[in-house]
Amino acid sequence: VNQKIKLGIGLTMLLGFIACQEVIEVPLKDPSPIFIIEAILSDQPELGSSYVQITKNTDYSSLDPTAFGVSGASITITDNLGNRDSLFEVPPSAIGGLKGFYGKFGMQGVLGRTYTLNVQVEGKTFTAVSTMPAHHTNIDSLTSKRNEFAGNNNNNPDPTVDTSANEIVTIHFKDKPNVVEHFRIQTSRRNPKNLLPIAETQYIMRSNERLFRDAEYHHTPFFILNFAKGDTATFRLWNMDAKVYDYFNTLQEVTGNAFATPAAPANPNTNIKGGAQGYFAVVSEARKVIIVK
Amino acid sequence: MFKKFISIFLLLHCVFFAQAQQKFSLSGTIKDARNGETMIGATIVDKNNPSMGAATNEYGFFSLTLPAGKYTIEVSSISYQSQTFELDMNRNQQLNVSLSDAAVAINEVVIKAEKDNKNVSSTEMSVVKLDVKEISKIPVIFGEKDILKTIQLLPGVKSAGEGGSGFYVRGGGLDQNLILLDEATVYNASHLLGFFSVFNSDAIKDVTMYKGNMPAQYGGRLSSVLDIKMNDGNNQTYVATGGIGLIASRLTLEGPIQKDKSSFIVSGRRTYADVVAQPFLPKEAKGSILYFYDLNLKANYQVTPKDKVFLSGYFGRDRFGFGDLFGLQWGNATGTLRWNHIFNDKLFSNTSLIFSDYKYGFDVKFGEVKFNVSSGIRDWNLKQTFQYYAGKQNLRFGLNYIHHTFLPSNVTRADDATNGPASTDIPNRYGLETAIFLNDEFDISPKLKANVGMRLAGFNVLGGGTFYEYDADRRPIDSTVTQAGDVAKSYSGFEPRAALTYIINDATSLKASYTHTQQFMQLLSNSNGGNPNDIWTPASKIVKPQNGDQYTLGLFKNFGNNAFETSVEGYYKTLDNQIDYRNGAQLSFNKYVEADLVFGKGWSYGVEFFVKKRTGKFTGWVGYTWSKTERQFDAINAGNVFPARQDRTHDLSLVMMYEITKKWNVAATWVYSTGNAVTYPRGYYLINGQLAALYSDRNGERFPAYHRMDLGVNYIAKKTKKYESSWNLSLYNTYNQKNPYSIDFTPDSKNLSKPIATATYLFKIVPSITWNFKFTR
Repeated sequence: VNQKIKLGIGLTMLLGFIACQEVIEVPLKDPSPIFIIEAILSDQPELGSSYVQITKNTDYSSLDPTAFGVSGASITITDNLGNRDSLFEVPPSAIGGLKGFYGKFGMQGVLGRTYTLNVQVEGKTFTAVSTMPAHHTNIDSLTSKRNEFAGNNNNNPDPTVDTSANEIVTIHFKDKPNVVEHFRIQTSRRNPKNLLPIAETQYIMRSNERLFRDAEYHHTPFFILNFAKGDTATFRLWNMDAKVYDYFNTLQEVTGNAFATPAAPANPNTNIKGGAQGYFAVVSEARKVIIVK
Repeated sequence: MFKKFISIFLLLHCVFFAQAQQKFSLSGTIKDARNGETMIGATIVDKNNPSMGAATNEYGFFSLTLPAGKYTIEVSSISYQSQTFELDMNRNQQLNVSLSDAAVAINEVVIKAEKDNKNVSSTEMSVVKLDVKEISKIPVIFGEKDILKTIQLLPGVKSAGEGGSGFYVRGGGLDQNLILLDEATVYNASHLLGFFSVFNSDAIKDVTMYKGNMPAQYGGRLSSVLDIKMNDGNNQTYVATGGIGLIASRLTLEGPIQKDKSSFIVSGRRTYADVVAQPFLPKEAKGSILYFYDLNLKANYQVTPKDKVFLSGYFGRDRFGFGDLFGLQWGNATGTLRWNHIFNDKLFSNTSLIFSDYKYGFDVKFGEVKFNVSSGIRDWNLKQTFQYYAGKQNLRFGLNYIHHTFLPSNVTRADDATNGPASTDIPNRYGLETAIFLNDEFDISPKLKANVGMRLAGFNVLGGGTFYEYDADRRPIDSTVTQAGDVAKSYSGFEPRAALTYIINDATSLKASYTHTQQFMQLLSNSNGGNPNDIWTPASKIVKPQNGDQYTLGLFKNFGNNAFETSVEGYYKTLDNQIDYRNGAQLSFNKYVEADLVFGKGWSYGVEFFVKKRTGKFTGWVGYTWSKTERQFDAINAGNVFPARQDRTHDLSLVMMYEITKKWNVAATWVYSTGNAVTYPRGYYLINGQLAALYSDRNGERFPAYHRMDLGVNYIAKKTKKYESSWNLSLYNTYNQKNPYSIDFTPDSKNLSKPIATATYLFKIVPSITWNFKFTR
């Protein structure tokens, strides 16, 4: 919800006139069918770090995850030296019936190279270009401390809110001086009590945003997700090019995670050409784990 | 350049100078007898030849040149008793008149309206004038009479949102309206997110809005000028007026400093909704504050019969705090020092030194980490205007010099910053806006009147700080460091304007006008209705000044001895160098915000119909506008034309007031408008483990149409010379229409691709009651 609307509702309540909400029928034009491509090429060799996933917006009319995914695509990734990899669909039987995942053993990006993705599916061709940063960025350390701002979770009547989650983790890392770098920090949280992973959340930033840094280091508090004592939090730091940053930054506006809803929302700025949604992210990736105490 | 500009003007005028004949001037000041307030727009005419006439300016001064001879001069103003004078014009003469309110006249004089065809005969068009007396009868939300809400009931002026005081004029943006209070720019005219405007109607004398065809003394905004003038204060006796309402109260004190000559007025207003609501608040919200207050001050002093000085000021603050977690405050402060000087019966001068300031601040605490957010704008403004009444020519010329300080949106770590530098440190920007202007009103023939004007406006982007240039990925690639006082970039341009009125007969005229305007600053706003944290930024190397052209054509006709006033006006307007935001733009705390701006153009056209009944027991008006407003940006919507948010095909307002008896009067308003053009999700898809909305084209969908009726009743309980007491009851949204304030979309849990729409309604039926009083010594 837009900040202003929230404030507006709060104000009218304070003024004694209760705002009310109800579901209404809004005549909407049908969306045209589109493909969604998520393509990641990482500098890390681990299986699952690099893959391409293809879905279609019509897939989501059911809740069946095995219906999500488009098979039969022909996919290649070529680097600026002319090396070409063809990707194969991961057999759905190997990953619980999920369709539309493509990859190749040993697929790994090289620092400084530019890659081109080519996807042919159902008679359509989509292409995207992304460049691996020239150097790898490490997470130096992770620290946690109590977040007093969210600390009032203890009184939160909403049962889905984990009232014990009052800890905030700060990510410390060093960037390259005098260039603008683009980062994406993701985390996943596991709690020993319920072992349920929380959906991944992301934090997007540019290195020239100066608020949480000193001369050398960024000290970025991960405000958007609180942790409980005993949680295992895995952080992944991506260093990526400006276009991929732009995609994730504008994606936040359509997934409802933006700081404020824009006046006129729009689909994210994708680097994929040909009319698909999604991204081709060639990234350097660092991981670090913290057990929150 | 200026020389050329003057010579063109002189050339233009030589043609029209009348033949030599002995002429004398009649000049003076017209006042309200009751309180000594100078009257704006009172008319002074020759009864035997009504085309010979003049109207008072904003300081009540007039000058009329007449050939030698005997005249019967009538001085009149609507709802005042007219006075006539037999004059023998054999020398220059002074005529200072005090007019009495018709309602308090002993011999219940019927107000003659037949001379009152100024709307037809003047060269003014696209102008809206509000009768301050009328405002108090029109019902509005919470019973607080409000200028900005009343103005939205007139054709061509559209409300930005439910209960809000933001407005759009003829398809222009929210920041394209110049709002002046005693000449000082008011940068944010809203209290409490727009539920109230900052103008306390008790302290207001005159409200004039130019939707186009602005006289040349105004400049700096593309779409409209709203010129609000404060009362001078009663120079006859001490008066206390006020009102006590459900959520706000107000009090005005005024009186003479020197009887008949000088006076003061002090007016204050404060809301207390938070105090009233306190017992009903949940525990966490205890100690919350939410209020605003306003203070208007004005004093004038007659130094000599030819010199008068005025000092006026406004100060208002909104405060909103939630426990000790956060505090929010914003507000305007303005000050105006004016000196009126009458050089002679033909030359009137006004010199104003004006200060204007808008500040926004937000404090928030995250554990021991405290942040402070601030932004604002501050102006120093010097304006010199001369009015020269040269026979058939009425010239107005002068210059204007404004120094702007733009305080960008900065966030500062207010706690001990052990973790690093403590602020976003975005430097202030400075700008110098200058203008010279000349406006002339004259008759080409008895049937054809003209008003032509020229404004030469310039803007210097002043140095201090670094200016950046960006690559295609919005990364700063080049920067220029400037010193304070350097001119980093300079813009200037002519703004011609002209209006012609062809008088078909006493009750009918045809008018046409053209106006070119420029705007050197813009409001960066992430919201639709205007937020207190919106940021004013100047033109720069990257941001070019906006400019606009407007063409209007109108037919004006009065019926029933001027009891009915009607008009049809068509307009076509183009807007260049318009500003919008890239997808994902970050407007606050962003040193590189200019990289997030995109530029394009816009246009708007429409027809406005207006019928007003001005006299009798039953008064009111109907305004209807049909319009289309579109924008085109290379970087938005794949370069395709899209409707502006404020594109509303139909907009209808109905205002009716009926005086049942001297004690009781009732009023009703009804508004209907096409819903805003908006962007909605048409479906959802999964990405990155989350559901993402799939959006329509920019503004490809419509909000539901808006309609609402408000009712009001005024009861005058007591009215004597010493004491007045009245009650105002109002019913906002009388038939309880559910007009969505916002519509939010969430995916359907049974079909992840389908959106479910949830509407939020702010106001159901809202009754309110206000008691108003007036004590006169």
